[in-house]
Amino acid sequence: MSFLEQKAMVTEPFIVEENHNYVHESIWRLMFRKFMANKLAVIGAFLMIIIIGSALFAPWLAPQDPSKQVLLDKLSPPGEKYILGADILGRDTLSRLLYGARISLLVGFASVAGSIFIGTAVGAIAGYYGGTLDAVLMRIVDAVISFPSLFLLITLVTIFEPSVFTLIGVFAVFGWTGTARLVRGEFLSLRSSEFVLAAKTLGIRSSRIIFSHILPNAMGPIIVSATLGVGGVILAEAALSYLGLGIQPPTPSWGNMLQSAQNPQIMLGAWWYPLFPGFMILITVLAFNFIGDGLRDAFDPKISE
Amino acid sequence: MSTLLEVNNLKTHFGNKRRVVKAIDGIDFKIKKGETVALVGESGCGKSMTSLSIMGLVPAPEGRIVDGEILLEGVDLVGLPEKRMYGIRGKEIAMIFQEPMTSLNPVLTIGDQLTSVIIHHLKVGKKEAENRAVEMLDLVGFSDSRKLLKDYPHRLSGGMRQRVMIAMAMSCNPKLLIADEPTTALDVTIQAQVLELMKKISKEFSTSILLITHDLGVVSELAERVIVMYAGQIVEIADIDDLFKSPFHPYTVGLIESVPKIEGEIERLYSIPGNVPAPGEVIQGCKFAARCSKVFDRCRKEMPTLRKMDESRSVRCFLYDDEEAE
Repeated sequence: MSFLEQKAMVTEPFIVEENHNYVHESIWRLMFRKFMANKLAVIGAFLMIIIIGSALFAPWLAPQDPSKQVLLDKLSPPGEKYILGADILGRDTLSRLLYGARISLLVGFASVAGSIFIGTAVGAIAGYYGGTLDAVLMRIVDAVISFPSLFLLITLVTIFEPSVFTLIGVFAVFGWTGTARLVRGEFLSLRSSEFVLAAKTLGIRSSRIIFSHILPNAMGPIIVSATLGVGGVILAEAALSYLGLGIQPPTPSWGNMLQSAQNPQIMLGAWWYPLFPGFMILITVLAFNFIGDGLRDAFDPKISE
Repeated sequence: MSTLLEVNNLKTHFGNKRRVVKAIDGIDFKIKKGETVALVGESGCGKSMTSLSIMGLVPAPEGRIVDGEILLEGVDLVGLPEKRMYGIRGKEIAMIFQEPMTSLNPVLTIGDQLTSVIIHHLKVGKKEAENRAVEMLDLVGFSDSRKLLKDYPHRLSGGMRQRVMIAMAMSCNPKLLIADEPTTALDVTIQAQVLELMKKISKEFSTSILLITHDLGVVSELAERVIVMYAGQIVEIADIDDLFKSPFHPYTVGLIESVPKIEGEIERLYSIPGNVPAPGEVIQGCKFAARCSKVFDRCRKEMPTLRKMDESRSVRCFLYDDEEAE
C-alpha cells in the first residue's frame, strides 16, 4: 500500500464528518428503496397499477357495453365472442369486470379516505391533549367498536337506499376506530419526544406542532393502515353486494356479480362465471395486503435495508 | 449589570391532592444581563424542572407552579397567558437540550426547522428567513450552510446537530439561553467545541446563559456564578472561584471531592454516601442531614434557611449559623 493510499484511508472519516457529502436523500427516498427491495410488495404494486389502470380506462378497454343483454348468449362459456364468458342475462363478463373494478376501487379508496380523515383527527386530538378529552374520545371509540357492525351495516343500508355513496359513508363512519387508536398511540409517544419539547421551547404553536411536527412522523403507520384498510373495505363491499345489500344491479360490482353464484345450477354448470369476479377480489385484496406489508417494513426503522 | 431574570420563592409541585411531590421547593436566584450561571446538583434534584418552570412548560396537569414568581425584565412569567408565552419562548428565552440526536425533528429539513422559528418570531419573509438561517449556521461553524438547509437531521453527527440546535436557539437573539446538559451526550473533543461556541455566543450577543449540568468541569469552563441545588432547594450560591477554592456547604464539598483528580494516586474515587431522597419523601430538618458528614442534632430537627454570607455568597447550613458558631 502506497503512502498516499494510507493517508487517504486515515483522513477519510474526517472528510465525511466535516465536509459532509451533500446528497439530499430524504427519508422518503430511503423508504422507496426499502420498499423496492421487498419482492412481494413490488408484485403487489405492479398488480395494483394494472388494476387501477384498467379501471380508469374501462370505457376504452371493454369490448362491449356492460349492460347490453343478449339473452340467447346467456351463460356462454369463455370463448371468441365473450373472452371471459357471459352471465345469466347474456352480458359480457370481461366488460362487467372492468366497470366493476371502478366501483369496487372507488368504494375502497373513498371510504378509507374518509375513515382515515376522521380517525387521524380524533386520534391526534386524543393523543396530543391527553387527560379527560382523551378518555372521552377513546370511550366513544370503544363504543363504536362494540357495535355488531355487520348487522348495523345491513340495517343502515336497508334504511337508506343502497347506493355507492351510502356505502362509502357507512364504511367511513364505522372504519375509523382502528386508525384513531393507532394515531393516538403514535401521538402519545411522540408528544413527549425531545424534538416536540424543543419545538415548544422555540415558541411554536400547538396546532403547528400537531400538523407539521408530529403528524409527518406518524404518517408511516397511517399509510400502512390505509393500504390494508382498502383491501378490507373491498372485501366488505363484496360481502354486502353478494347478499344483495350493496351495489344494486344493473351497476356492476365484483360483489354483485358473485350474487348469482348462490344458484347451484350456475355454480356447477357455469363455474367460470363466478370464478372471475372472485378471482379479481382475491387478487386486489392480496395486492393491497402485499403493498401494506411492504410499506410497513419500509417505514420501520428497525428493519435495515 | 442589571438583572435579567429574577426567580422568587418558586415552588413547582407534582401529583394530586393525596400525594404531592415537591420537585422545586422554594428557590430564589437572579441572573444578570450577559452573565453565565451554572445550576448544579445530582440527578433528580430539580435542575431540569427549574428550566421547564421558567419556560412555562411544566408538564400539565400533573405538575404545576404553585407559588412564586419568575420575573423576566420585571414581567412575571408565571400565569402569563399561553398566547404571550408563544412570543417569549424562542424569542426572549431559548433552550438547548442534552440529546442532540433526538431534539431535531427527523422528517423536516434543517432549513424548514430553522426558518419556521425565524418567520414566527421575527415576522420576516421566507427569503429573508433563509438568509438569517444561513448566517446563523455560519456563525456556529458550518462551512456550507446554504446546502445544509436542504438536509435532513439523520445525515448529521451529534456534534453537528448540537450546533444546529444552538443556531436555532440563537436565531432570534434571545436574552436568555437555557442549556440543559448541553455537552453530556457528546464526546470530549466535540464537548470542547460546543463549550467554546457557547462562550463565543455569550460574549458576542451578551446573552445570559443558565447552564444546567452535573459536570463540574463544564461549570469551571463556562460559568461565572454557581447555584448548587439539592432535593428541590438551593443549598449554596457562590462565584465560581470561591466555590472551587472554599466550598461552604458539605454537599458542595462532596460534589467537588467526587471529581476525579489527575494528581496523586487514589485507591478509590470519593462518592457522597447515600442517595438523593426519593421524590415525595417527607424529611424533617435539613434534607441533606442523612448524607452529611458534619451532621449534628439540630440538623435533624430544623430546616436551615438560605443565609446570605456576603454580597455574592449564600449557604443553607447550620455550620455557618451565628448561633452555632459560638
